[in-house]
Amino acid sequence: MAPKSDDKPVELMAETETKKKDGKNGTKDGNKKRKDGKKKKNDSGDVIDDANAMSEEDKQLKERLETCVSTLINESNEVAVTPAIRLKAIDVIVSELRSATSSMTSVPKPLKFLRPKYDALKGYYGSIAGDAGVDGDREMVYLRARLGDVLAVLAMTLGKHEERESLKFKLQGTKDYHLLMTLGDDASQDDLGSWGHEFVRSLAGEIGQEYNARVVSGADPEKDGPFEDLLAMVDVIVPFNIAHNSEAEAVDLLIEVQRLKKILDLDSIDEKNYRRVCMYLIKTADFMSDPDDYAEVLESAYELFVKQSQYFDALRVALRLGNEDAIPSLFSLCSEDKLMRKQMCLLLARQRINYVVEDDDDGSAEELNELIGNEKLSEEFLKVAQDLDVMDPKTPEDIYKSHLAETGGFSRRRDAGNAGVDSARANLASTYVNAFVNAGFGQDKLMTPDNEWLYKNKDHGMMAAAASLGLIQLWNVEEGLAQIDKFLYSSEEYVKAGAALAVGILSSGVRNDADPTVALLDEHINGDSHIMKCAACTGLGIAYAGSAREDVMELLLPIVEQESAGPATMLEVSLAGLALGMIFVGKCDDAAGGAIVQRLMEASDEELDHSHAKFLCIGLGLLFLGKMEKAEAMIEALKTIEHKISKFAAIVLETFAYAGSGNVLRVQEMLHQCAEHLEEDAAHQMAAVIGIGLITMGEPVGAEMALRSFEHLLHYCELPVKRAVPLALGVLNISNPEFSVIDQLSRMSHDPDTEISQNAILVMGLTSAGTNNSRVAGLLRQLSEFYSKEAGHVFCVRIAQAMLHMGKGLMTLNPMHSDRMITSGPALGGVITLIYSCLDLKSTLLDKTHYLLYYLTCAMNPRMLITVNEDLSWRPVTVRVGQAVDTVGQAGKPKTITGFQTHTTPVLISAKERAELGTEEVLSVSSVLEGIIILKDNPDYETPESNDK
Amino acid sequence: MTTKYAATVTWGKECIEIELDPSAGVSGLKSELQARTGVPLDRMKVMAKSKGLWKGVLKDAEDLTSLKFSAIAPPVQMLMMGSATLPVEPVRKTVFLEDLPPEEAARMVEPSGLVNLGNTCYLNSVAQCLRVIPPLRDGLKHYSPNIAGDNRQAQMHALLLKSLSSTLDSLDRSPTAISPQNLVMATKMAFPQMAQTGPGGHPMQQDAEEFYSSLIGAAATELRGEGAIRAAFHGEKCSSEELNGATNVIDAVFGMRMEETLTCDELSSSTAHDSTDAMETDGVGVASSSLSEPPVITHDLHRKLVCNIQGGSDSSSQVNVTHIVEGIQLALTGKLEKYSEILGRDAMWTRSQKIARLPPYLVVQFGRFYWKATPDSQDHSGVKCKVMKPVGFQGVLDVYDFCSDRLKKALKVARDKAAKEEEDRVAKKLKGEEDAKDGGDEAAAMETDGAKEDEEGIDDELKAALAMSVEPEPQPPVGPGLPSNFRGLYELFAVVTHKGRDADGGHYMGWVKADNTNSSDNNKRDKIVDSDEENDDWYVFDDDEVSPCKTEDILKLKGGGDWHMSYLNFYRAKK
Repeated sequence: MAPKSDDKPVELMAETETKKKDGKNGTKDGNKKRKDGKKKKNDSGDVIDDANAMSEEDKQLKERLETCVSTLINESNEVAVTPAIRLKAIDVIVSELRSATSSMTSVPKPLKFLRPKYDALKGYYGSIAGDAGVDGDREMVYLRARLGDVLAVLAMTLGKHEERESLKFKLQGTKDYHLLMTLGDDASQDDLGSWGHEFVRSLAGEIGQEYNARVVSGADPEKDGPFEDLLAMVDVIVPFNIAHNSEAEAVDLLIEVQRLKKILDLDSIDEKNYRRVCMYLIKTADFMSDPDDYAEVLESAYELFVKQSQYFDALRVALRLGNEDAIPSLFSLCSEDKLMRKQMCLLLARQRINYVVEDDDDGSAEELNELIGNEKLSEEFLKVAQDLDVMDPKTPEDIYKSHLAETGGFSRRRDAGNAGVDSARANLASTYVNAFVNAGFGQDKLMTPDNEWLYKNKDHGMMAAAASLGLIQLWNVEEGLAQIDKFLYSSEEYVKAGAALAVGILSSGVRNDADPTVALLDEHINGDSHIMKCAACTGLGIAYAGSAREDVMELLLPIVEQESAGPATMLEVSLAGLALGMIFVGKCDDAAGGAIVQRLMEASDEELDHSHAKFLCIGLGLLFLGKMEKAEAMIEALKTIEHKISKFAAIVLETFAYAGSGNVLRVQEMLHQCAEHLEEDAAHQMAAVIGIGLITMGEPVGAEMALRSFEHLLHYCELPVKRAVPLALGVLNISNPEFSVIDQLSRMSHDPDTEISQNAILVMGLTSAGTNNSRVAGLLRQLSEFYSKEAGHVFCVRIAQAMLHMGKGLMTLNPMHSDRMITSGPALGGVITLIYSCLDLKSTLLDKTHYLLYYLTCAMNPRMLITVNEDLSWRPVTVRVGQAVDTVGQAGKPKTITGFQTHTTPVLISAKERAELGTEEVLSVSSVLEGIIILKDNPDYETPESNDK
Repeated sequence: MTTKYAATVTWGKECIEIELDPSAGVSGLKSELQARTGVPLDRMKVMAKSKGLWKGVLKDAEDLTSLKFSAIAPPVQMLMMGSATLPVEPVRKTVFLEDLPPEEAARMVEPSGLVNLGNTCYLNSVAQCLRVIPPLRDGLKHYSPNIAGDNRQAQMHALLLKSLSSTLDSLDRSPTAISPQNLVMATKMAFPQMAQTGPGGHPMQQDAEEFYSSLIGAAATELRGEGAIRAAFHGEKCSSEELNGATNVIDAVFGMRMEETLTCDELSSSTAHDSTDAMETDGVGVASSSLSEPPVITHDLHRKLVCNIQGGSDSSSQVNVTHIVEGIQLALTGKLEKYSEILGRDAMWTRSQKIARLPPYLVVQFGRFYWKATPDSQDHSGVKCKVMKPVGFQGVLDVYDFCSDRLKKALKVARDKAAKEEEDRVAKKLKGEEDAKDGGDEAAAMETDGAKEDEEGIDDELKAALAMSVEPEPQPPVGPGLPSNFRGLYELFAVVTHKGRDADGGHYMGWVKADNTNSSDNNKRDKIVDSDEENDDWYVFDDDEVSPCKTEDILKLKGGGDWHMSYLNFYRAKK
């Protein structure tokens, strides 16, 4: 509900209005003013004064009110009491009620004195309400209308809450005013606002209840007919609220009566308050349990932004909705504003939307497409790295820092002493650490100098090592290809496969006109070599994640559809299915979905028992990521599979479809799944736990509640559920090492159960990915010592360290961007792939398919803020970076960040931070300062010097 | 129609500008590119960046003339992949730890631990220490029990030794912790007192020293004979003189011949000072004064030295022992009441023990546990107590002071020689530095000259001393398996520690020096580096948990707190 501060101006407004009316009445003006002054003092002096110790003035007031009431009711039916006198009496009551202002904590005096008379007034009103004879009498109707108003106000505190008496009287009063109008008196109208903000608010509440009651009793919410009287009142209240800084309440009321579309027709929404309305709408969307409502709320926000020519924000909302069809119209709407278009392209690039701007007359399409295609990403990233002086390559040992360990010197000496023997597992870990830490920098100390390190890896490790070149050269397609190409001719099959994978990783999220990835992988995907096929599928999945490229699908479909000939083919099928899911993430593509579900239905039990069959389900789920009810049909189709995987797949699909929606009903459903005590065949429960994380991610309140549910799961559930809890924690806190979560993970990382501890360790890396968080670094170092005997644990620790120092702290895995409003599908898909490989570490990351780790590339993005000129050259300005503050629903111009520091761009921004410009000199084209931001000069800015002159 | 088009080909960082002649075909384009880049034709992949041309990698069959180059805004953009050189694969394949057979892998990783089978840490810790005593291992390996006999005791011992041998062997081979079931079973059968169980039926904690002594005792009775000893010392036949009474492997490896001298206090008290002098000469057999009772000299074999800590109630003669040397000294001397023939009655005698023959391996037991009489208590007549006070020790133990005069003389030769070498080395080093200085500071040169003169003086004295000591007779060997230049220095290599307040509980751990047999590493080291610091890596064996630690951690095991404190120290002769 709206905070207190909100009420002040409205209350004052109501008061001034009543004063004005007082002036009109005139008679006892002077007297009243004096009394007012006194009364205020009285109120502040002792708030609770009982009847015995009533002051002289209170007694007078009480008497006067009582006289008025008795005059009004006219019990003895004295003829002398004409309707005119009675009207006078009601005028006195009205003016007393309206002029009564007091603090929030005490009941206004007139209200208090009228309290005992409420029933009498009600009785009298009842007697004249049914009286048909009154209807003809203008004065009596007016009297009845006024009395209705008074009773409505009194009922606000006195009436029974469930009966909605206040609204009842008000509605009857309104009817009387209408009657008056038909009788030819247009002057006497009631101004709702004049009764004060509190009355409006209470009325709004009752309207909502009344509306629901009528719907329950059979009224059709689609038709306006049954609600005409209510909607008329809504039409009055909403503009009043918006005009009086209560945008939130206006929106709430409209949502309550299911007439949100009305907001688009309001004239009172202007350039001053549209942002607050939209922000409230966007936040409210999280709490809509019905997908249609959800879409309606966001669409309203979208329309409002478009109406205010805020196309960038409109695009953000469209992306939040997953409505990519809106992009072309938005582009055409702002065809004049070149900078806005560029900024929109940059947002599309971050979201990895494969949108092609059509050629237009001025030939700017090429530049815009270049921006969407992330072609300059590598260049900008390297410039930031240079600016921050982190270009020097880091070795794995720089990350492990084993000299800091208590027994560090010892183990290091042993490592050096036993130079003859390499541990394949340890070297594989170092390969990944080296790749992730130096990702995007184009140079490292293991892979780029010579290829000695490559051969220090074994089989699949060699593949991972060759593929790591792709990560090191990330986004730099042309130069990277030149380095990788030679390994495509290696006699070693694994090296060749690695090189093929590297080609895919390299161009993750980057469009290149020559499109080398598909050109190079084409031959391998159709080749005979099993490992090459696996690599090519994964490479395509990483390179074209989110691009929805039909030609890539055509390459992958035959792999998915192929007949099985043993576990090796099932692996190919699964990897191809996963790649399809990544490429068409959130696209609900029929062809891809049909192929995968068909394959699942036709698969034999042995195939579905394969450790990687799960990834086929995940590929299917990714197709419907965030698409809510669109997955329903597919879920039904999956239920026909007679294998335990059907349960798993259904839950995967459901949770993926509602990912980021905060839908409480789905969370409850998932919790229900976990209630069963299963010790085996519990994969679907694990998916459900992760699903809770997925559904609530990005919505702070839901996430908080999920954290509490996880505590319960840890207490009462069986091992499989517990094993998934750290993973769900990871989903909720990607690249956001919150103190309490790290604490909890650190506890779980010492759990006697191998899988809980390994998952917790990996997730520690995920939650701190790209932050260089020193606390996590310390914890991981301790863990590496603690588990020095357990090869599996050590590998997990190393991977976690790799993620922690990913891109030397310049990158993030967080799929939420643009002020945590939009979720990037490919990024979330990449993280999900890692999370789901953790369900069965023994047969994935700790076995041969550790290269699934490279799917994280899709989630890797620089967490930099660069400010650029209109021609995209750098323009360093001062910015303030601080903790983001939630300002939704607050009046005025509240501070959006707290505890800020002032920096000069480029600057790094972490998960819960927000930036704002530190200078008035420039304006940003985008409303959110993240990534690359175009600046333009502020036309209203005056330099201080010129001011002095 | 041979229209040429300007084209740019991106190749890595380079941008090559060529004239594209469609009529020359794909081969024409490729050979031009080969000429410019050196990339062989078959490894060249050309892709179009400009839209509307061919799709994917340019195929050789592609007809360039049919493509609409003219529709493209010049220059035509292409991307080329390919490298002039191919990666070189290493000649030697990397060998991975994971591929090695377990025995070899075990050598590469940290030594493995022993699983605790219910309060068997006393056994585990001792076994870990015995594992690194090669002569004992070799002796055990050579051992073939004589099962023909009907001696049940002997059979039990044979079983125990066999299981010990096999457990230690499998420890060497396994990269992971192993379970010593057989050894525990055999121990409980051989020594029924070790099979005690507590009220709950679970095995009770045992005294590690008791176990060690029993085990060694059993081994002494079983590993008898010259063959066994020869096996223990790698076939080198030890002279009887060296062995000096040792008839089994245990006595050869751990045994010390102790020379015990008893002197009657009452008769020699007047000439206390003389008597000490006399004692020193006794060894050579000089007749003692007729007035005093002749000292009684007996010889005995011991398998360990005891470090007497003298704490708790046993504080009659309060010497505050703070170092291992003091404790050993204390244990080697004592008083006892004995019949004196001259006095014709019982008198106080002073007992003093000296080592007459040194072992290659020396075990020192800290007398940490003692029986405290508690007459006041109802059910007990006493309790087993533990002395918690700290007794320091170093990585090296010098036994020179505990040796008999004869032995001292033998040791002195090598010690003096070593001292001289050390001085020479220091001098050489200084000289070397001086040379390096190349006519540096005058005063410094003068100083070192002076020092050198001093040294020379010492040298002369030493030479004289050497001449005196060496000339009379060739020195007798000091013990089996010990080098001729043995200096009486022992290096600490394993420790059994106890943690806890009482003897019947607590926890034992074994601490063993890391086996740094990395020859290549050692060769590289500068000879000048003191060999003491060469290796300070240790492992601590907490049952199946093995973790590395440092010498400084070992020196902290002296006691005085609630942390582990040393109970048995294993030393080996320093070569």
